[in-house]
Amino acid sequence: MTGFNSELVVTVLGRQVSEALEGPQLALLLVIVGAALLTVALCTRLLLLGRREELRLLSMVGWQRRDTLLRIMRDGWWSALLSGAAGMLLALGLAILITALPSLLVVLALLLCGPLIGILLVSMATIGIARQETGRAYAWR
Amino acid sequence: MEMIACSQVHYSYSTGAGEVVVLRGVDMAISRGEHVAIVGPSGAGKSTLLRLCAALDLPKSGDLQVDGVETRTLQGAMLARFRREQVGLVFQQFSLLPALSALENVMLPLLPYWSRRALQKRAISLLAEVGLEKRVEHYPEQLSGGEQQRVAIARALVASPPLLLADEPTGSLDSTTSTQIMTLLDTLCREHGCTLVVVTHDAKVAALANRTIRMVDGLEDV
Repeated sequence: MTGFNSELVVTVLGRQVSEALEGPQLALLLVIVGAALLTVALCTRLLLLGRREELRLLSMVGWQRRDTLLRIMRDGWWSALLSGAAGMLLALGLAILITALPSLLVVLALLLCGPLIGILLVSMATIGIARQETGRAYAWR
Repeated sequence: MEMIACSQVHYSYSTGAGEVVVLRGVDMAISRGEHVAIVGPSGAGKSTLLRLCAALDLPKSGDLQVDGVETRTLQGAMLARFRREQVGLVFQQFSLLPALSALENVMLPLLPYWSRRALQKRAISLLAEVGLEKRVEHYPEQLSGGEQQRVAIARALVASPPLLLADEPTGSLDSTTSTQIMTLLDTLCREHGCTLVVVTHDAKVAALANRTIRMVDGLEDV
């Protein structure tokens, strides 16, 4: 095979391999995100079980429910922010090792989006459970 | 004007075994600035009545007005505001958050609603009033029972409520500390112009009040 044909074969093969892996990769990503969300939700439930007295007290001393919810959510946001940033840095490092350095704009966008996505995902995982627990503390009897 | 006005207040709750009737039509009036003790045997409905006055529970029937506000009509933000600004609560078990310092515990009720600087100033001044100016940064586990109750009293007064409700405030304290705490509560309420309602089993605590209301089987004993 000439050099040109060799390159062409590798490129075509590479594209085929990439396309073949795209589906499973996406599925794997969804499984990982799902597992992470479930883990965060489970941890939140356990944490809030231990904080029932605190939620009841906040309700009794006159905190509005939305402020109590915000307090619960905010507790998870710092770790979400750090996890998002750490995840994005790891991904960037890996991408640089395997392929090439992305443009500065892409790097900045990823560094900004990573923590924000972290906060969004953690909020999604906690809001339902937080609403359920505060609902119990704020119910008229 | 009356601070608390109850008319035919009934309260009951359901259990697996059926309905438990706690209050059977309480009629009661407490004037502004009064110091009232509510006494009676266990299960007479004293604490329940206090919880109804604090708008923590809703009467099943009857009218209950606190400072002219019908508690039944309160909901959501209005209810939270009422609990925050109209009523100060002191419990037997102090109910302090262990992860917060004495200062932060006092600031807690108003934390989302006041500027931190102003709130801190107010909380420090209240802690000084209860004699804990040197314990501001201490955590509940580093404080004695009496000191924890002092922090709870400061917390109850942080929003300058016109009504202070105390449920067995000396129930977890020895007799000397009980007297100190009750004297402090009485003095602070006079100074701040609060109406004080104390639920107690302790005759000494009740003796400090201007008036005693005795409850038996969910009714005021007349």
